[in-house]
Amino acid sequence: MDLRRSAMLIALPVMALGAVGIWTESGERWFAHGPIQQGHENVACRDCHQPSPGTPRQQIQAKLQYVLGLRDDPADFGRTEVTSDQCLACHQRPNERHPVYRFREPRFIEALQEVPADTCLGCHSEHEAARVAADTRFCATCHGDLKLANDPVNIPHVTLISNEKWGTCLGCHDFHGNHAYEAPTHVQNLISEPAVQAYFGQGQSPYGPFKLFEAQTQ
Amino acid sequence: MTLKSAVALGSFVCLAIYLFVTAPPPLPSQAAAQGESRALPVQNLFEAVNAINHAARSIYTGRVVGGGLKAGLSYGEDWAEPGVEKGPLPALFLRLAAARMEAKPPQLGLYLGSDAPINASNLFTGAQSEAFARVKATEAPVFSTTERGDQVGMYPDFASAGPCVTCHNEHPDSPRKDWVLNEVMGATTWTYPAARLGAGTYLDVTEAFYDAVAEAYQSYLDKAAGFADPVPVGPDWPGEGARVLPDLPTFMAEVRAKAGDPVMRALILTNGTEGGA
Repeated sequence: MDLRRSAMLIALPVMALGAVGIWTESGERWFAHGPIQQGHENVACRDCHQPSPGTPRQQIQAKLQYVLGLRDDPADFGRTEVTSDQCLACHQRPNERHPVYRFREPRFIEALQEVPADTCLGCHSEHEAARVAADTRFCATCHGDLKLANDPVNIPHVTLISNEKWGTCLGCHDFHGNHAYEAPTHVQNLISEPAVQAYFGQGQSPYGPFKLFEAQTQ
Repeated sequence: MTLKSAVALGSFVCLAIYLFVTAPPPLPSQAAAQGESRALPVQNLFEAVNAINHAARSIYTGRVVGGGLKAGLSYGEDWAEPGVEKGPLPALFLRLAAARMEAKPPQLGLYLGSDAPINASNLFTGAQSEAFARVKATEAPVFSTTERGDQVGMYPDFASAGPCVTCHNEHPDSPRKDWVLNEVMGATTWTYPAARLGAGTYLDVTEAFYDAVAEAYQSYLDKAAGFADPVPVGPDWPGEGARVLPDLPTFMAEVRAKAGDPVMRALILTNGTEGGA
């Protein structure tokens, strides 16, 4: 068997497998470029990676026209880009402590250089074996001037901030405010930074299992 | 011509025929795909949502808080604290609505700011400070674009009622104690990621903001339902001897009635011309 024929014998099954991956739900899972997050086990690929409009032929045509300057807006081939809209379809809640689009306010332009919080994907990158792709001290970006009128903590917030104890913030407060967790009033009782870091991986929630609002299922 | 060249040329010709000669209808543009052939300037959207905001705020301030105070209800900054039996102050009601809006897909942003705010985080800085200086000078909205391309509409907030002036002058954290009635105290700033939007999107965004206002008011109703002596909720408004709160449909019907005309005008009219743009 010559080299050309061998290459064809290998290429054809690969192409067939690729077609299965592109066009079937079960096949798509094989092609995910990393593990999905805890809690997303039952989310179908297509719930986030939604089909782009048009036929494949129209999409190729539109892409070519865009490249040639004959079309104003780009076109996606196969699937549309995943945005915060897909996240909000399930995770929109009335108790959101940090609404994602608040960070589009002009006053946050500099803060966004540190933490891209104006998109869910700025911190929550799917397929990366991590719940949160950020360090545990990002609160420093915005809350340096925090003052509480009636501070309930034995070491006041203003002292923690002046001593740059930014690793303690998430020991009492989860970013989105959706855990049914009562913040301790003694700093000695807060959740440790390593425990929060483990949670940022795929670890168990240190804030307990109960949430005020469960994610909606599609 | 070699065989390889002939095959390459033939493939190229076939591809060109496939993509262009026997091509299907072109993929509609994103705007057209959403039925948005009649695009509106973002200023029209800002006019509409600002009208909804103005309606909600004036009804909440005048009829809910004003009437509620006469009925013996209380309102304060600490309204959300456990065990506190109060409702949100008007500015906090707006913040609630803003927080709800900013968690929704349309990407419409809303926030209050000033050059002398009670809460330091609401202080305008940089380009926003310059825009606010123009708002104060002209007492009219100012439109701009941020470095990242977001559209910004800044609308003046007037000290339209005595309690606004009194509260800001007496608040211990207020950097100014000499506010007077009808002065520009701050600005409501709107942000949106596109300079133009279609009619369908316009309706989606305005409806989302109505929903945000409804959710903010529902937060107060939920709180009032948990008072030691829960406040009755129904079709009536509070006042002297009437310790009641309007239910959500009653409140929102009033807001929609007040805002409906400017919202519809901003959809139909462009630059004051019917069928314009």
